[in-house]
Formats: sequence, C-alpha cells, structure tokens
Amino acid sequence: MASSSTSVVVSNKEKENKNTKKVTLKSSDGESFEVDESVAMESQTIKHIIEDGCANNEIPLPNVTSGILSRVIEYCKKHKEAAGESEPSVTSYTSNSTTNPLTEWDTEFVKVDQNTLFDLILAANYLDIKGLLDLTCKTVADMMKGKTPQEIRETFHIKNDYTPEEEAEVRKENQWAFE
Amino acid sequence: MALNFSHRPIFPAHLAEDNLVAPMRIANGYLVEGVSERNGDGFGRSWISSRDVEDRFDYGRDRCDRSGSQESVSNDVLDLLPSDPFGMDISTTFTAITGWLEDFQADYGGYGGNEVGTSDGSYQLFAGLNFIWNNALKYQSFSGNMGVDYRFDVAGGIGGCFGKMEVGDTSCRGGFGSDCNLDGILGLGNETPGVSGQQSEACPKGNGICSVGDSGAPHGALNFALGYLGLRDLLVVETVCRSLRSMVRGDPLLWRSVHIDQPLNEKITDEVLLQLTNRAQGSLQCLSLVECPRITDDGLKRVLDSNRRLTKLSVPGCTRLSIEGIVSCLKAFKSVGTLGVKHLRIGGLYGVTQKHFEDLKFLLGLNDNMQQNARKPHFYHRGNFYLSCDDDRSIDIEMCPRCQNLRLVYDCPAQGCQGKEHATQVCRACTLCIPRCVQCGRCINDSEYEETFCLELLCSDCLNQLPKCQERHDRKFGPSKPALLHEQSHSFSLHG
Repeated sequence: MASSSTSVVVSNKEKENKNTKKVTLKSSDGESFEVDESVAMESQTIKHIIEDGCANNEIPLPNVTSGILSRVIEYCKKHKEAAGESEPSVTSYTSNSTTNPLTEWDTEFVKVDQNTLFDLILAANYLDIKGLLDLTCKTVADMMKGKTPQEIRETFHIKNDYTPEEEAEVRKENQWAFE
Repeated sequence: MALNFSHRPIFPAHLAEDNLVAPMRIANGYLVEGVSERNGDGFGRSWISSRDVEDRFDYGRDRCDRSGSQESVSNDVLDLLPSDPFGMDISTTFTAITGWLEDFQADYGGYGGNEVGTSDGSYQLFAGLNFIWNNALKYQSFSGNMGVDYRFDVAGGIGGCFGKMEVGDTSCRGGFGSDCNLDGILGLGNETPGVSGQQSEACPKGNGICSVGDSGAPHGALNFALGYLGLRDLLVVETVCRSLRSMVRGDPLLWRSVHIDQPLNEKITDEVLLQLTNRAQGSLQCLSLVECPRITDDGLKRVLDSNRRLTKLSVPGCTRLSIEGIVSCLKAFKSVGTLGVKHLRIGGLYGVTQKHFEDLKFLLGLNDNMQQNARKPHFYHRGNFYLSCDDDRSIDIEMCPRCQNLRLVYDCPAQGCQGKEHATQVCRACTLCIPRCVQCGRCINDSEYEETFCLELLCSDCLNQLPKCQERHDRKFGPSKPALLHEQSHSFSLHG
C-alpha cells in the first residue's frame, strides 16, 4: 500500500516537472525573470528562439527593461491561465466583451502612465505578442479617437511644428471630411 | 516696459481731443521728460526724443549706440505740442513711474543701483531707462527668431510643451506687447503667461513626460496605434504635426484596408478616394465603400487600375455604381492575370441579372457548392443590412427563393422559423418578399407591426420595448393608421 502511494506521488511529481519547464528571460538592465516555458511562448519571438534551440541559458531581451518585462510576463501569465481554463471555442465566438472577465483585468492592466503604455507597445511588438499589442494599441487609439488636433497634441505632448501656411494647407486638403 | 515700437506719434498735434493714448505712451512721453527738462526745451522735445527712441527700435535692434544722443532731433514739430496736454500733474506721475523703474531696475541688477531720481535726477532716469532699453534690445535682437529657443531654455528645457508660441511678439504692440517683453526681461526664469498656461496643460501630474528625448516629437509607439484608427481620425492625426502626417501618409500598411462608412460615406468623392487609395502604393487589399453615393464607375475603375492586388471589394448601397461597371472591372482584373477579387459585396445594387451573376461567379472563381456550406446566418437589422468583408462568402447576393431575383437574402432569427439547414429554411427571402423588423430581423408576416418615420418596420415586441417617448414620436409621424395591420403589402425601405 505504502509503496503504491509513493509511486503515485512520484509519477505526479514527474508530471509536474514536465509541465513546469522554465526559461529565464533577461531584461536590458540585467534583471532575470524565470517563467514557465508555456507562458513565455505567448511571445512568438521567444517561441521561435526556444524552438530553434537557442534558449540554452538565458534569453536576452535587450530592448525591454525590467519594469516593462515584468508587466509583460504578468500579462502573459494571466492570459495563459485564462486560455487554459475556458474552452477556446467559447472565447472566440460567443464571448461578449462585457462579460469576459479578462476584459476587466485588461482594462486595469493598461491603466498606466503614457510612457509605460508606449513602452508596452514597443515591447509587445518586439516580443510579438498579438493580444498585448492589440490591447495597448487600442488603448492609445481610444485616446486619440474623436479628438481635435490640439487635444491630441495636449494628450501626447506633441509640438506643433507646422508653419501656419502648412497647417492651413493640410486642413484644406482634408476639408472634405470635416465640412 | 517702454518698448512701444509703433510708428504712430505718441502725441499727435491735436492732442486735446485724443483720449485714446495708451498709458504706456504717456509714460513714454513722461519718461523722457527728464531729458527735456535737462535740455530745457519743454515737453515737445521730449516727445521727439522718445519717438527717436522708438524709431531706433523699429529700424534696427542693434542700434544701441545711440542711447545718449539727443542732439539729432528736429525742432519744428516740438513747438506745436503742449507741455501738459491732459492737465496731469507731471511730477507725481513721474514719481510713480520712477518707482516702477526702480522696481525693475532692482530686479535687473545690472544697473549701478543708483536711485532713479526724481525730476532732478532725470538724466539718471533716462540713462537707466536706456540701459534697460538697451538690454531689452539685447534680448530682443537675438530673440528675433531664436527667442523661442531662448525662452525654452530659460523655462527649463520643456521645449515641446509650448505648442504655438508666437515669438513674433517681439514687435510689441502698445502696452500689451511691452508687458510681454517686460516679463520676459524680468522673469528670466519664468514663463510668459501664454506659455505657462500651456505648460500646465502639457505636463500634467508631473510625470516628467515632457523631458522624453525628442521633446515635442510624437513617440514612435504612436505609429502602431495609428492602425487602429478609422479614416476620420487618421485625417485628424495628419494635422497634428509633420511627423504624424508623414506617418499617416507614408505608411502603406495603414492603407491596405480602406473602409468608408458613416459619416464620411456621403462626402467622399472619386478624387479623394483615389488620393487615399494611392497611399497604399499599390498594395490595397480590401476596399469597402458602404453607401457612398458620390463614387462613380469611373472612379472605382481608376482605383482598381492602380491596385491590382485587391482581393476584397465591397460596394453595397453605392447608388452610382452599376453592375456592368463592376463586372467590367473584375474582367479587367482577370485579364491582367492577377489573383483577382475573391470577395465581392454588391448588395443594394439594382438590375443584377442572371447573366451578371454567372459572370461574377466565374470571375470570383466560385462554384455553387462552395457557397452553401458552413455559412453564418445573415440577419436583417440596423447596422447589419450588408454582409461584411469578414464573412467568408464570396458574394453577398443570391437568388431569392421566392421572387428569383438576385438580392440580399436574409435568415430569420425567429424560433418558429428555424429549419434544419439554412437552405431549407422556409423563412429565407429578400426583404421585398418577406418584410422584416428592422430591430430584431424577424419576419413580419401576420403579426402586428408599425412603420416608423424612416419607413422601417418594427415588430410588436420591439415596439413595446421602445421607451415611451420614442414610441409616441413614431406614432406621431408614422402612417395615419398605425399598428394592427395584418397585410403584407406595404411600402418599406429597400435593402437588398
């Protein structure tokens, strides 16, 4: 009896070991993050590195700082968990954004200052994480929608480098859409 | 302060009637009073002196050297001018002004710190003023064009936040302009009023965002977000700054898929469409023009001629397009040997004959079997009259089972109308054969319904769900005999 129970325990442990293969990601400022391989593979870039057999030690990510990388990992973990729990068919077709629990989490996730948001966009692009790129870009796009040029300048601290003549010319070209 | 660059004489000949002289000008005149007293010529001389000063400022910012020379003034006009045109007590005014001058001389720190005197020390006063004026000139001279930068540096390198700062304010117009410069001179570390307002807007919550490398230039990440904007917003973004304009106009990826819907659909013309699609530089893949009444066959042809990689064409409800035009466009595509359009949406186009339909099916590479399988049902309701580009179907129209015409055919969401397969569903037809509720898409055959002001039909359920006021509105403007109609034959909007 005792032996059989231990054998069960051992086999479970083996299963565990198989499932929790880890990879280490190293940020540009030298910080290392150990994550489950399955979570890391949310990033197509990392997935290719692993599949190509180049992920022996650490995977260096020179374009991503530790602050941003930790957030990206958080996102990947959360979405990996959620994908694992619900059936794929349910989430893709009939899931209503208002009732999808991930939508709320995502909304909170992007409540960050602008610089962090921009860095997340660049990281999502570099790491090729479609969901994160969509989420962050949509957030920024929503900040631009329906605004006047001056409001956009103020929101994103953009300097108006048009001369008055140039500005008038651009406005005239697009006049058809706004008259 | 006293930097009135206006050519206008401070005190015209008929001064008594003129009450519009700005305080600054009076101050100007009085400031130079000291000189006249020194010269003993009376007020008239002082007026000319101050004008001389002004002229200097007007004609050359670098003519600081003539600060002391009062001799070059002419005398003819001076004698015409009264010494105290307003009956003001000159000395008290003068005291006030000297006090003021003391203040900004103290701030200035450059002046020898001598008391700007009373009317006795008028020479010193004038010298002091000249000193200030000269230093003002110094700041003015290089701030003609660089003033922006200077002030930006002064304001702590928050260069990008000022937006449209008019540095041309060096041409002080009357009192206000000079105030502006005064602030600039005095408060070297402070922003001018106009600027500070913008600064507070531009740098909220002290995030330090303004100090990002290219202060003022848009962040590179914005480029990615542009792809998630609709056409109207993209056009707005173009007018924000030069780099965003280049991003919007110069990135073909943004223009791979052009979708024109409300409210731009009514405004877009052939020329504009061509201009926009040209931005794709030949890589246009999906063109969707929903209810664009100004687009003509010619215009569409020109677009297609320069974008041979088009695979999805959706032109529902474009009343100036003809089915012949569409067919000829697609034929031209085929002849060039390109992949050709694989998805076509022409719902709402009239006069589609069986021949056209066969031609189109051939051009789309369609055989009958493909169309029927695994198709999402298409229900009729506002915003969904037309089949979207995303749907897998190659062509949206089909033969109506009832009238045999080639129109948009809708499925019925009503419980009672569900059949085993879509094709055998009894309740599948165009809206001319089976009228539908515009809200839920259910067939309205024998049930209660009402025609709205927009000539759309609402079934009784949807009618009941309307808020009371809207219902009253509909009833008010609907047909004179609302509801309770059991016949089918009524006019309604045509969609398909």
